[in-house]
Amino acid sequence: MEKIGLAICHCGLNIAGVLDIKRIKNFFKKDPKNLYVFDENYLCSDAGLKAIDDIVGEQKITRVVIAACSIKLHGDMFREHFEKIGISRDLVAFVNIREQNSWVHTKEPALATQKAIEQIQAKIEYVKLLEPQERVRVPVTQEALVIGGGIAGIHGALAIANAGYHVYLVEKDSTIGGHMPLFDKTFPTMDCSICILGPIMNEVKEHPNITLMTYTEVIDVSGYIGNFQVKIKKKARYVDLEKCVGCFDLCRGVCDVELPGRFFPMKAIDVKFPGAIPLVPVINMDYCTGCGACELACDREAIIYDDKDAIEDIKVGAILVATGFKDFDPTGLREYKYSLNPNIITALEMERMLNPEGPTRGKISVPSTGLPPKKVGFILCVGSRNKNLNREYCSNVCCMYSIKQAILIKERVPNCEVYVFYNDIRANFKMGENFYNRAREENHIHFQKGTVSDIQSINGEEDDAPTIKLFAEDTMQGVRMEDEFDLVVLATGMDPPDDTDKIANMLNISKDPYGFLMASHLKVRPSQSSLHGIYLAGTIHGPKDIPSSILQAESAAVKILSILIKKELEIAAVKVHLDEDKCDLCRLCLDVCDYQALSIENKKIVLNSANCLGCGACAAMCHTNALWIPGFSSEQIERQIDSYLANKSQAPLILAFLCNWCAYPGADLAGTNKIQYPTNIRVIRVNCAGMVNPSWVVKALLEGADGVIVIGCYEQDCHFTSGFTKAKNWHESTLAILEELNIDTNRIRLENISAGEGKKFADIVFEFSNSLIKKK
Amino acid sequence: MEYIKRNRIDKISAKISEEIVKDDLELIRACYQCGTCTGSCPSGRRTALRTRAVIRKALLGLDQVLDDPDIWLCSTCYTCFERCPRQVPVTDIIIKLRNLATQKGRILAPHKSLTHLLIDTGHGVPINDKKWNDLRESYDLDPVPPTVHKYPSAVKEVQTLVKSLGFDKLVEYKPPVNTNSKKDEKPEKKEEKATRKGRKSKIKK
Amino acid sequence: MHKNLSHEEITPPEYSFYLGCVIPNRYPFVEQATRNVLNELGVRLKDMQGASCCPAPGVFRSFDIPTWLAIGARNIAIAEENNADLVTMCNGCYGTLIDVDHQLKTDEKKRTFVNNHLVKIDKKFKGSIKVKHLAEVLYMDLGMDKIRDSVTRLLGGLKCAVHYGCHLTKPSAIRPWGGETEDPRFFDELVEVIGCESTDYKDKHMCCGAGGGVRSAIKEVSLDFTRHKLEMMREAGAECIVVMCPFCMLQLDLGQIEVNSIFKDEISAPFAIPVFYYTQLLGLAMGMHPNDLGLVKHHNLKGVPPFVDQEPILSRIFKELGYDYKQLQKQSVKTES
Repeated sequence: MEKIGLAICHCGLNIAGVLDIKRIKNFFKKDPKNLYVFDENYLCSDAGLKAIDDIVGEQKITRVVIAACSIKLHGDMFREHFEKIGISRDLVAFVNIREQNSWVHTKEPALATQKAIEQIQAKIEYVKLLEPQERVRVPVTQEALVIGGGIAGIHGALAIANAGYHVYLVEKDSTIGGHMPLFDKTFPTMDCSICILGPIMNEVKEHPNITLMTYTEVIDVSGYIGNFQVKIKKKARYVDLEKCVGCFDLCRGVCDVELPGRFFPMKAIDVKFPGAIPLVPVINMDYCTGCGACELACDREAIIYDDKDAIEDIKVGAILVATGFKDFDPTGLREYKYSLNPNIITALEMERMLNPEGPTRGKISVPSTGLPPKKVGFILCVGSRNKNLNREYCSNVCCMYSIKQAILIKERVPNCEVYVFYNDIRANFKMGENFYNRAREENHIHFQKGTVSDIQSINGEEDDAPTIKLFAEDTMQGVRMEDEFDLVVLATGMDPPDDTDKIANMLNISKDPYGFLMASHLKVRPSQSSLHGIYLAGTIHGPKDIPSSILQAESAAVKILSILIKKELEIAAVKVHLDEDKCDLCRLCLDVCDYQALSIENKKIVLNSANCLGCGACAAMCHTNALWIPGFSSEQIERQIDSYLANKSQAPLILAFLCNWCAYPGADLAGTNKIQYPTNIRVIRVNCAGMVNPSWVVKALLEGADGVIVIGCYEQDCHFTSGFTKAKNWHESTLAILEELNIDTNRIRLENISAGEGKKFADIVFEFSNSLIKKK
Repeated sequence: MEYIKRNRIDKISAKISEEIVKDDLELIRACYQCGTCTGSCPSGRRTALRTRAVIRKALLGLDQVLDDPDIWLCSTCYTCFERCPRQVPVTDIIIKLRNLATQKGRILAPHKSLTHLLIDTGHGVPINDKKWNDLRESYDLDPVPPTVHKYPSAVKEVQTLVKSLGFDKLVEYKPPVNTNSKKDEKPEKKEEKATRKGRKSKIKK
Repeated sequence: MHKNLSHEEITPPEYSFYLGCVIPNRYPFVEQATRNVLNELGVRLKDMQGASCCPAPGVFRSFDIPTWLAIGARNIAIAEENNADLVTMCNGCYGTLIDVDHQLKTDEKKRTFVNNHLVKIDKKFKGSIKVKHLAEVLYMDLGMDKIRDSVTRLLGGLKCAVHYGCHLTKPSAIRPWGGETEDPRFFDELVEVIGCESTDYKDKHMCCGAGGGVRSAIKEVSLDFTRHKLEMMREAGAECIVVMCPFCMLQLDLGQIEVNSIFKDEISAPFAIPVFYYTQLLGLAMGMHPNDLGLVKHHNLKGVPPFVDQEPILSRIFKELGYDYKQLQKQSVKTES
């Protein structure tokens, strides 16, 4: 006989501080024969799991409903645990009473408790319909791909390679190293950047387990954890990697073409910096005049003018994304006059000036005169902590690198005065505060509190007169400042690199609201992307310093190794199931499948499971229910709809279908950030917005839902190929149906959010709810 | 004793910020006191107005912010708001503070007479001398513009609104006793003549 | 396509013409110039009968926001009755009217509140029209091509200090200029298209000082803004100032006389930079007669604008265009007497 166990978690006061657990328990005590309800302070703790074990044994529980945090947090852990104690992981259902209830309805305990009861009721109905699924064992390609050869990618690759597994390290630039080799010194140790990095870069080049591919881009990725197929493009370098011995002065010396860029002087044939790995130049064909001088000069015959891009396919079991950052471009901050005055430079440009291999050979000078500066101003938070620029984040490193640069300037131009205009100094790194204090005490750097509001160019009488006037408030005293400087450094923050959207789409992983890649959990899974088998390291995940990038890379490497070490993985295949007998050969599913998973042969529908990714769009088209995705079948969804509406306690009531990839984690994020919204929403998780059958929506409205909303990913971010596009089509048809039924079409909505947009989710609920209230 | 100054903040409260938040200016709470506003402020370049400090005092609920003349030194140029990295509506907050100060009777005397002009005539800068009519006429315009000046009923409308909103009481307006009715009629007659005369000329070619 | 074009020709663009206070009551030649220039450009203007003070955003809004909203809404309601978008020549009026319009269009609670008062005077804010500044009508509605085509003679590189004023561009979120406030270009383009040179000067986008009730209550502070602006303009070699706001115009025109007096010890020499409203110069470039652009005095009144003598600069421009300033003035005085 089946008996359901309902386990309710208090999560300390996280849940129990808002919801009335006793009331919930009492509500479900009515049917002890079929349903056993119990609660625990922390279900996920040892004690909680022990209690589960005992009760499952005592009560002969066969199916389980866990009312706790989001399925996205501990779902896998609980499922594995139940599997161990003899209950199929497929017979466990989850009720999200934390991220999507107690945390977002803090001020409405009574309504929130009622909502929790209704959420549990729906899942009890749902769990009854679940069936154990076959597991698929898939072989693992025991190799890894690291995208990006900066400090994070290098350390990730080395960690994996040193454990004995093969790594492809793909770098789009002509050399590995990323930003770090461009710097002179690094904070807070003040050791030379290239001296630390150089040997590590060499280690990468020489490592037997690393295949280094520079000037190479990833152009396509398919597959899943353990089995990714990756297409890479080796861009034409026009210099033979095998023949070139890296003397590079011969070819570069004869090249007449200088590329634009004050602080990054390069020829049309050049290496990025003298310590480049590999030390092989590339020809920039956008500028090369084809004069042939380098070809003549090269005694190794390494120049290949007709070099071509080459495409290669590789297979890997896991991927580490470490594509770094882009320096914020301050041109758009018009009040700072960057690019209008040569003596206003960015911090990265200052790094080049400080670098002995840079354009000034390490000499600090005022660009317009070439003379050493007398008074230098640093402006912090340029492109960071700024709502106007949609960059509300702190870039984490600008305070420290500015202090470093200030110290270096003081060391090289002792008579120069250095002022750092700051709002808050953030020195919370190991030895950071010491470094900050040292700058004040030993190096006499002056820290000036108050953000610079604008900059004016001025012309003095003398040649070496200052050309810059800064306007600010000394906020400590409440006095205005207007002072003159001859060199100003804008401490620019970090942006995600330009191609991040492309990479995120290619890999099907989520971005945060600022365009950086998002970890699957902000705290407890800091290096895991939103997709199994893909990991993140370094600044692509958000601004961070060198040690933090390395930490994250090595943490990701451990995660990757835990995959590579297995020859086989057991995965829950979310794939479409077919009941041939029900099929009436209407063929609608064939057109809608992006993956050629369905075909008709000999007047019979044929399912090619290997091709199916489980988006469920075909099931949405199937009017006979011959196709379904386990866990999301029409019956399983409709039973939840029935339950929610039979127990409707609030009006207007919104029924929401949230896609598993963006919308559901987005709603969870609203919870994590405690962004409040009304309680009158009931959520049904679906695998993709494209699987939401119009009949579910209509059914919900007819059964009493006041509004129905389907929320998916942004169209271009769809985890599948065109799920949201399909959802748009279904939405159109639903509107047509509603018109025919004479139902107000404003009662349904289709929206998209990203996994990083908790606030937008809450706004949508508010707005939709208000619009429904107005209708009433 | 001149060196003894027992300046201190005795009590901080949310009473002022709550009034401000009520008017959709909740972003006052986003302020992180960076001083970009003060640095941008053309008035602060020559006066004691420190917009950052105004926001600070408002957040702390210090009455001083309503009593000091500083808030009246803002020329409402909105540069602070445009540059504020936190999107704090500094100018609108100052305007709201001025509303609160006015409710406390802190409106400046010249401003008060300006409000009386508006209530009397419907214009903040009215035609209060015949020379302005003559000036208009000399530029081929109707000596009386087609504004409240031409339509006494329109002045009444403005006055009705002012009363309906209690603005007259707020600014302690007292209607002029005798001259009111005469004033209403006189200019109208004159206008009509003037209109015909004015319109003859080359305004419309 | 062709039909559409001819259709546009028979229904000229039409606007509700909002005068405000300063232009009709102090600077009427701006009203004259603008009416005539817009007429020449094929724009129909509908007077807003009984319109009041906007009311001024710096002063009346500062005293009582609800009253400001209601009186502003009354003015917009008059334009709504005209069934034509509102155009104003004044940055202050623009600031009030576009802000009121925006708030009432987007905030239902405020709209209900205001309409509950407007009903007492039989008016209603419907939100059916747009509020525009003259600059927007010229630059966007008519468009630079149209302005360029209408120009028949260029004004010989007159060095103009363009003063945008604040509320024309800020707050930028509810202005049509694409968010640019540090260095917008549209007004400079308008000035350059008539053959003038827009002289770059420091603190070009700084406030003239008149707004926010500062001029009316604490005049020396407002004039200190003005002093600074005038110094920057003079330093850059500007021959005249061009504005599109009468309050800025008043501050920069009458303000010079006041600055010359109260800051006489601080300035190197008295200021005498003539101030023009943009349409006065545009009209000249369009071939219109100075008499129709308020550029020639028709009176002997004392203490009326323009306060800074425009004769020296106008004599030069007029000469290039084939007029004689003295002659024009004599004629005009004659017609008058």
